[in-house]
Amino acid sequence: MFSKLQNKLNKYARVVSATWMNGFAYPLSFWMWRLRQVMSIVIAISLWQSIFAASSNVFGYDQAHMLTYIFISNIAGFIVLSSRTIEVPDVITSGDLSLYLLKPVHFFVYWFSRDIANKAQNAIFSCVELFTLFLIYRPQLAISTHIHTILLAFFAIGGGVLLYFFINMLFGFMAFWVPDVWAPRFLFFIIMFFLSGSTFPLDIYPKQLVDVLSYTPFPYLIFFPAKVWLEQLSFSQIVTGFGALLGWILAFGILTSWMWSRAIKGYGADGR
Amino acid sequence: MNTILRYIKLWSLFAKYELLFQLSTHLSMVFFFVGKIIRFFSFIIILLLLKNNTNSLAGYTINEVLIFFLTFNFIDLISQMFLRGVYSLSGKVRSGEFDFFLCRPVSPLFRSLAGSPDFNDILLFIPLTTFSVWYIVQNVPVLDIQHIFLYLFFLCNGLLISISFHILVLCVGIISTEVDNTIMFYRDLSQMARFPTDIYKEPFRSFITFVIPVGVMMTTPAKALLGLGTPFMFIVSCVISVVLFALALKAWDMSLKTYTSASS
Repeated sequence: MFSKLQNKLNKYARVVSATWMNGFAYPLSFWMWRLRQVMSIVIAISLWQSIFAASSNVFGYDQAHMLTYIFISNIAGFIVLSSRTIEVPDVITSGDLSLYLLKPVHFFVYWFSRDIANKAQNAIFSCVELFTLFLIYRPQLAISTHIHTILLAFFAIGGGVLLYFFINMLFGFMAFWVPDVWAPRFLFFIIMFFLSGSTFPLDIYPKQLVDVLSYTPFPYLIFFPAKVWLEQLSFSQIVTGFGALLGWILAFGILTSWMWSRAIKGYGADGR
Repeated sequence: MNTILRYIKLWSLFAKYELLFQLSTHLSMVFFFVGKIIRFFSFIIILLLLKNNTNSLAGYTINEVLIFFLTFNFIDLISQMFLRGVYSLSGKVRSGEFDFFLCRPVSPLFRSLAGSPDFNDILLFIPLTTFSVWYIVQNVPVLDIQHIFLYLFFLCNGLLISISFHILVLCVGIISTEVDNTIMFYRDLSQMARFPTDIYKEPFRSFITFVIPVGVMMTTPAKALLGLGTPFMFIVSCVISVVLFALALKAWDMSLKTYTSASS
């Protein structure tokens, strides 16, 4: 029983390791990717520092709390939003899916393993980058070091990872029925960019809009984990937030599994 | 003259085929169009929200910041419309299809850069430019012929810098067979100039002004329109664009020499 589990884990550990190495296959591309991540933080920090140079309190945030939010949301974003599942539609439309079906791997676990490698790469390099930017900007930060807060934030980020994985798989599986998945995914990314809290906290929007947004999955990807880490949520908001996050994970998980089972029954290996 | 006419005719032909291709996936066109409209107006809304909370950004009023953003958007949109071919070049190098670009009596640079215009952006161009012109007319305090001329001149100067960057990305594509992150790096870098570059600390400000001059590309036109530019800044902008363009052409020649057609 134990050795069977170990074999399975070894199998997916190989996938993680191969994906990790694959990330460095094009060195120029890799470093460009890292520079892009750095630039997104530089833009956010510079913008907010300029804003706070003229006003001490903006949208109810002081400079220390806003910059802490930027740092934390970026850490959460690097982990939650990095994913290799973006390649799933190509696997389906090219017919390469047949190769996966013949291998002794679970399609979901295989792609989740690839995601783990990608997220680990992103997390490790982003720590170095964020530390460097910290040394350049020397921002005043208000990061909580309470162990229970860090644990809660860890679970919230973990929930965001699962939710984002299922959402991406859902878009990927659309390729079973429509030839172009990139366009709806692009629209989703644009909406997510503004509504997940990756660039600025969502509570800068009017309160009514924030209330409506809490019924959508977007804030649970980055905004909610960041606010948990910042200790800016009450106990009831944390409980409600985790409940909603769990609900969205279940909803998307069930929907994705249902789509997979439907799709695989009609799969004709077109393209092979 | 004949050559220019020939290339205009050729571009029309490329554009026609690209339009037919894009119309075959008209639902995708709708998604892209809606997504880009949402992105544009979301930034406007965020800047307007900022206007209610702060008076200025690095010494500029939020109205002025919006003019910087609209100028960025214009240059970015034109580049996306006409230079979309850059995104697909690495695939052509890997598959060997690039050989066909080289052996036809059309400049491979022109074919690679402008061979696949993006009609989604052409659709966007009309409403967004109309909005930008309306906003500029409403909010620029002194809008005389001199400022308009300088603005249009430095828009063209910005486009020349943009073309140079796209050529450099093509060179990377030929040499390394991978451009995805390079072109996205350029795009992210140009996003830094969505706001006045005065908001950035050193060394980032010098980097986007002198090393990879996206700051010059995007902010000089807006400064000229708002009457905030200096003769020195205008001269430096022109010198940078001309030198960068010459370097890009040189790099293109050198990258072609390294192309071995190994994939075909």
